[in-house]
Amino acid sequence: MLFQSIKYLFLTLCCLWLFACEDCTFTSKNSSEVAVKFFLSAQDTEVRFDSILTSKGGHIFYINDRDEQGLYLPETSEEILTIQSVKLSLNPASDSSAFIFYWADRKDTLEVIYERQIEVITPDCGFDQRIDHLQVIKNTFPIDSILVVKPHLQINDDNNVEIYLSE
Amino acid sequence: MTIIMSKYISPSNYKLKNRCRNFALKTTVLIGILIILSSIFSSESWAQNHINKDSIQQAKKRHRLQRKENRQKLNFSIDAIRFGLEGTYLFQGLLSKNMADFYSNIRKYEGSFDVTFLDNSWCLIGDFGRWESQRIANVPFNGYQYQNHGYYFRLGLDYNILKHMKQKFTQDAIFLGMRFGQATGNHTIRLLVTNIPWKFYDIRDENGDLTDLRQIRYDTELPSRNFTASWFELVTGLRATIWKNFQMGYTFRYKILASVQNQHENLAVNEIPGFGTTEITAKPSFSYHIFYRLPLRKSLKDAVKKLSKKSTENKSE
Repeated sequence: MLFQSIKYLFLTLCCLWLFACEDCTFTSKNSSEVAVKFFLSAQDTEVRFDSILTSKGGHIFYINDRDEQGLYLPETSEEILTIQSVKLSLNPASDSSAFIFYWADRKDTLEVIYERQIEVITPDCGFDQRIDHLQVIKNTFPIDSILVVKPHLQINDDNNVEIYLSE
Repeated sequence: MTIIMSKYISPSNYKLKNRCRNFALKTTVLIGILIILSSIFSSESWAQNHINKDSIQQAKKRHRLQRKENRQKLNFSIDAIRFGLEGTYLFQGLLSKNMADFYSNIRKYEGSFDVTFLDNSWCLIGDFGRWESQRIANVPFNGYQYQNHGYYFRLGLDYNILKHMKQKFTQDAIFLGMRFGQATGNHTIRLLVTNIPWKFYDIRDENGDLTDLRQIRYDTELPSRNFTASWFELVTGLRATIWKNFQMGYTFRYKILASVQNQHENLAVNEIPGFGTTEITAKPSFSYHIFYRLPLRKSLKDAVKKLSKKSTENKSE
């Protein structure tokens, strides 16, 4: 009798366990965008950019031709873009990305390297890409200093790279 | 002593001499009594010691006898060997849609071999399996195809708690135990990614229809990489005879991932053969088994009986 009851208890537990399997819940906070924040040494707190491009020629944003297909516009875009920070989408095909900035009749580049690690979640959730060990290897900005404050990129990051521009 | 005393006392003083004699006599008597008493006590202590030694020896003898009896009681013997097959993924796919989806792209083959000993109270277990899995997410923009395959084994020991409950279940078991698992595998991933700034986006023809997505998405395959992993399991379950020597059983496992070696620099190990997905490093699991039990002790007993019968027959002839 005892043996039988234990047997049925095990079977019930087994059935409960099988039906308790949950659907996919995507909980990753990893991001593929690097948040770059600019600081001016003067009293101005904002930097005016005309456009920012990837090294492949794709636009991160620009002022005109908004209706062009495939254009990526930040939520804060106005007629004249005055921004303090920008999120730059990293190249998914490479461990390095270069960006070209057009601003104040200047053309500057910023090149970063990073490590990518891909993790499969489930077929419903897709895959997750962790970007870590971010480093700035090249920049042509007139700077006082440049800092990588958070080398692991996450969705809620305000700034991963801080660029302190000189006069 | 009297001689010494007589030399010391002057002969002119008789009274004094007599006193001295008495004193000498008294002291000799006293010493004599003391000697006798001491000898009596010493003999008593010797007797006591002797008795103690005897009792120690007896206790030692008893202990030896008990040990002998215990050894005879233990009577180490291999009771049976069992060969089993695991078929969890077949059942799980039938019961739950989620499980069916999860297991639809998994091929898992597992065999087990175990030895029960000491009157079916202990069981030494070895499992060996092969695992193949494929995950495909063909979503319109970011898709992937992940493949993982490898081998694994588990070694462990179970204790049958049913042994203490009822004596009549000589072949069945409700057990508690531990396992150590080790796996070696290989995995690879193919990625399909869209990214507008980096010009991985859809291109439409004149009619507005999408051209082949594979041409416009970033399509890459990371080179395959071998990895090894190990884990521990706390297990409990049941083995019950269903027909003759055939047994069925299930095992609840609580798996704890110990280590994963040779991780791909760009690709995390998503699944470990025998352990499952690596999202959670400590998780429960469940498995069904079907066994064939080959009793060894009974056959040995039968063989001994037959031999004894033959010998008695021979003697009678």
